[in-house]
Amino acid sequence: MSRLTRREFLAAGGTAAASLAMLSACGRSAPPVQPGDGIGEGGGTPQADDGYKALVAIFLHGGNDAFNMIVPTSGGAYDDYARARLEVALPRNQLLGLGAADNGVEFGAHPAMSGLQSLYQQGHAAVLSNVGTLVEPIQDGQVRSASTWRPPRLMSHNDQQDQWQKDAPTSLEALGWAGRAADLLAPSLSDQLLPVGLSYSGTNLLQTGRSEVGFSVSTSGPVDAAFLRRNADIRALYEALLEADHDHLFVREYSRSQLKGMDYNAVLAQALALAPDLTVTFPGDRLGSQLAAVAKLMSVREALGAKRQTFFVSMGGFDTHADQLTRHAGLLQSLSDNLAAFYQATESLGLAGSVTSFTVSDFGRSLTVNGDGTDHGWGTHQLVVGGAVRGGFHGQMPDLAPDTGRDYGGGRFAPSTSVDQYGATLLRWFGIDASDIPGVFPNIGRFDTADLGFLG
Amino acid sequence: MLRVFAKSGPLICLALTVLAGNATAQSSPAVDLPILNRGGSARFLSQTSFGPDPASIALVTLIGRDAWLAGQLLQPPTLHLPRYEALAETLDPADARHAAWWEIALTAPDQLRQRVAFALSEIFVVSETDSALGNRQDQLAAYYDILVRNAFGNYRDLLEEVTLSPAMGLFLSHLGNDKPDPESGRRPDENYAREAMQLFSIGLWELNRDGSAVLDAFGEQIPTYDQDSIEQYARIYTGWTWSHRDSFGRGSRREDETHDPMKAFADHHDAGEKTLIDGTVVPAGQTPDEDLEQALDSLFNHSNVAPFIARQLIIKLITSNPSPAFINRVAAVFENNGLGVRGDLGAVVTAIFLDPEARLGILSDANLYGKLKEPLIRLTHLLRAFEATSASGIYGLRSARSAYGQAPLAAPSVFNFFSPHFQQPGVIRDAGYFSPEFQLQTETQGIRIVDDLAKRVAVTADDASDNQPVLDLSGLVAIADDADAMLDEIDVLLLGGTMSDALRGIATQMIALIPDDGEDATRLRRAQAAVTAAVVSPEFAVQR
Repeated sequence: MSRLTRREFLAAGGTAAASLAMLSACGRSAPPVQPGDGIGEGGGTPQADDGYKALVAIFLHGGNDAFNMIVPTSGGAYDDYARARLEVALPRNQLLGLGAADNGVEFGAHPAMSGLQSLYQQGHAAVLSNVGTLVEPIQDGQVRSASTWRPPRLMSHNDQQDQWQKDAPTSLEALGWAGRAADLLAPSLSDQLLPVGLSYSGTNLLQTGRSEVGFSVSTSGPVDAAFLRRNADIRALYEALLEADHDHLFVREYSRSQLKGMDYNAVLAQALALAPDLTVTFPGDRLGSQLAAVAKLMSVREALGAKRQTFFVSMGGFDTHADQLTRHAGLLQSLSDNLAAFYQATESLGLAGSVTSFTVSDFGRSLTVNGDGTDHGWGTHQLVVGGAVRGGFHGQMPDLAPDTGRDYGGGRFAPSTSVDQYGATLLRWFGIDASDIPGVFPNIGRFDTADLGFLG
Repeated sequence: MLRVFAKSGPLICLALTVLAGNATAQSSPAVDLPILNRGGSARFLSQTSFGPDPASIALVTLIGRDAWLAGQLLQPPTLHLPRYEALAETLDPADARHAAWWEIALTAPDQLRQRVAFALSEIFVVSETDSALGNRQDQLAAYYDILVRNAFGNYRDLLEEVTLSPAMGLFLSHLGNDKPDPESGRRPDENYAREAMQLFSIGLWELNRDGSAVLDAFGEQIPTYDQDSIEQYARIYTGWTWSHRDSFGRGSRREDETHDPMKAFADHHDAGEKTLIDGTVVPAGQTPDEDLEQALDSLFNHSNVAPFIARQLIIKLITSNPSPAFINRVAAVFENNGLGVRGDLGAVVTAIFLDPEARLGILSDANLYGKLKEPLIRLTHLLRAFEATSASGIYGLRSARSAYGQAPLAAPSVFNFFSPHFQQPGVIRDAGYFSPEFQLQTETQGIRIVDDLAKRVAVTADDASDNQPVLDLSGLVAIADDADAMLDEIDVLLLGGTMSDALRGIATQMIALIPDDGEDATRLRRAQAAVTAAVVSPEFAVQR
C-alpha cells in the first residue's frame, strides 16, 4: 500500500476536513473589533511562511497553588497573605524577589524556583496574574451576584481542566483552542510531515480541533512493534488487516488509530535518527523527560518540514489538599528547573525567540487553608517563558485581604483575565490573524482586549 | 427499547419483546440460548471474567450461562491482602501487590467477583501514584479487598467502607481532617466531600432513571450540588483518622498501622448543624458516626445513584453506549432488587449481564454495541486463554504498566485512566458516541500494546525469566499442521466465535509464512503466528 493511499485512508477516517470557509463562518456574527487588532490587514488565511514557531503547554494537573508560587513580599500585602495562609504560609525571607505587579506590590517566587527567578531577571519570564475561566468579565463586587454569569461547574477538576482547554467554557462542542489554531494553520503547512499538535502526555482537549486532532508521542522516542520490525511480510499483512473493511465503528476507529500510530512513528524515527545530542541536561523527572523530548524534536524540525508546532506536556500532583508545603515545593522545583533547562535548550537550538512555553492548570486554590493544605479555587497565576516574552507582571493582581470584591468565598478569586484572552495572546503571536481569533474564542469580544501584551 | 428496535430485524424484536418484561427470561433459541456453544460461552466469559480459559468455556457450555452466573455469585471471595503479604516476603512491596493482583485475575475461581471488583476500582479510585499510598502497598491491597468483598454486597456498605478506609482517607485527605477554627479562619478539607459526590455516588447533574440529564425550563442541566453543599459535607467528614492513633492528627508510624476503618475523635469533629443535599438538617451535637451515617444515607438515597452507578458499571463491563432503556432497567434493579432492597450490587450485576441488550446487542446493534477493551483486559484475556504460568509460579507483570498504560490501582488521579464521557475525536465524537477506553489508548500506546502482546506470545519457557508467564500453546501445536483447525480454536478462545473472514484470511497467510515441516519447533512457530495474528487484530481489541 502506497503512502499516498495510506494518507488518504487516514484522512478518510478523521472528521471531514473543515474548510476555512466553514471555520470562518462559525461564531462570527458579531466579531469584536479592537483598535490595532489588525483587522483589515489581510486577515483570513494565516501564512506560516515566516519561520518556525512553537507553543509549549505545560499542564499542571490538580490545580496549582499559584498563591504559594508568586507571593507578595511587601509589608501589608504579605501580612494579608500570611494571615490567610496560616501554617501553609511561606516565610517572607525565603521568597525569591521578582518585582512589582500592576498594583505596586512587590512579589517573590517560591523558594524552590530559582530557575524562574533568573529567567524573570533576564526578562524571559512573565507572570499573568489572576487568569481563569470566565464567560464574561466579572466586575469587582459582582462575583456572587445572581445576575453574574459564571462558568459552569467551577472547582471541579475535570470540568475546569476542560474549560481551560476549550474554545469557551459553555460551548457544547469539545474543541480545544490550540486544535482550532491548527485547523486554521494546517492549509498553509502542507510540507509539514506531522500534525501541528504533538502531545507527550496523551490525549488532550487543548490540541483537539475540528479536523486537526494532534498526535500522541512517546517520551522515549519513536515506537515500533518488534513483530512488525522483524518481518516485512508480516508488516504488510498487518497493514492489510488494519485497512480491511470493518463494519464495527470501534474496530474501524481502532484500525485507523493503529495505522496513524505506525505512519507517524515511522516519520518520527526517520527524522530523529538525524537528531544531534542535546547539549542541555534536563532534570531526571517526568517533566524533564517530556521537555527533553520536545527539544529533541525541535532539533529536527527542518527534516519534519515543521513551521508551526504545539506541544503538550504535563506534570501531576498539584491537588495539594494535604501536606502542601512539602509536596508543592518538590513540584515547583521541578517546574522551575525544567523551565530553565528548556529555555536554555531552545537558546542552544537558536530558537529562544521562536518558542513560547506557558503553564495551564485546572484552577487556582483557595487562599484560605484547611490545615496543612488548600482547596479548589478559581483564578490563578500562570507563567509564560520564552525569548519573545515581555517579561514582568501582566494582568491584575488581586488584593489578598479578606472579603475583597473578587473573593467568591474562602479566598477563591474571580479571575480578572480570561483564558480566552490568555489563549488569544498566545495564538496571535503564533500567527493566527486577529480576524480569526473570534472563530477560535467565540466569547473574546466580551473582553476588553484580545492581546494582553505579554508577547512581543 | 426504542433505539434497539429501530436497528433490529423482526426476530430480534420478537426476542426483545419476550425479554423486556423479565431480564432473566429465556431468549429466543435462534439468538442466544442460555445453553451456549463454546464460542458463545467464551463471548459471555469475556464480559463476566478476566477472559475465558478452556475450563470455564467447558463449564459454561455444560451448565449454561444462568447456572454459571448463579454459581459465581456464591463463590467465596479470593482476597488480595493475604496473597500480597505472602508475596511481599520475597518481593518488593509494589511488585508483590501487582503479582497478587495478576495471580488472582488470571487464576482465581471467583472470576465474576474479581472482574466486577476491577470495575469498581475504576469508579472508587485510589492510586499508588499518590506517594502516601505508593509507600503503603498493603493499604492498597486491603482497599482492593473492600471492593472484592462488597462486589455483590450492598452499595451503601461499600460506600461506607470506602469512606472509612485508611487508603481512601490518605488519597482524598479526609484522614486527619480537622474541624474548622473560626478564629484563624482554617476550614475543613473539601476533597472527599467533593469527589464522593461527583465520582462515587450522584455525579454533577440531576439524572433521569435512564441516565439522561434532567433539564430545567431553559434546557440546561441542573447541578446536583454547589460549593455550599460541599462545605457542609466537608464538615461532616471531620475528626477521622488512623484507628491506631491515641490522639487526633495525621501522622503515623508504619509499624503501628492497621487496615482497620478510620476512627473519629469527637473533639475534632465539627458537631455544628449541617444541611444535606436533600435538604435534611443534621442536628448539632451528634457524634461523628451519626453524622456520617446521615450524610452517606443522603447520598445513597439520592435518585441519581441508581442511574449513575448503573451506567458506570455497564460501560465498564458491557458497552460504551448503552441505550437509555438498558440503563433504566439496571437502575430499577438498583432501586429495588425485587425484595425491596436498594443498592444490591449482586442483583445489579446480574441484571447487567443478563440484560437483553448485553446478550443481543451484538446482533441488534452490530456496528456499535460493545467497547474498546481496556489494555489490561486484553492482556488478561490472552494469558487466561492459554493458561499462562511462570517457572516460579509468581506472575511478575508489574512492568506491563508501561506498555499498556494501565495497572491495578495506579490511575493518574481519582478521575481514573479515562473519563466515562470521553469521545474519541473524529467519527466517534462527530456521531455523538462515547468511547471511554480510547482516551487511554493513544495511537502510540496502541503500537506498544500490540508489541507487548506479540512478545508475550513469542516467549517460551526456554527464554523466559523465572517470574515471566509463558503461554501454553501445546493444544495448538498438536494441530499446527492444520491452519484452519488452529484458527477455529483461536476463534473460540480469543474472539468468542466472531472471527471475521478478513482476519481468518490474513491469519492464514501469516501462518503460511512458516511452512509445516513436521518439526516441533516449526509447529510452535506456526501456533505462535496464529495467536499473534488474532491478538494484534483490531477485532480482538473490541469486546462485543
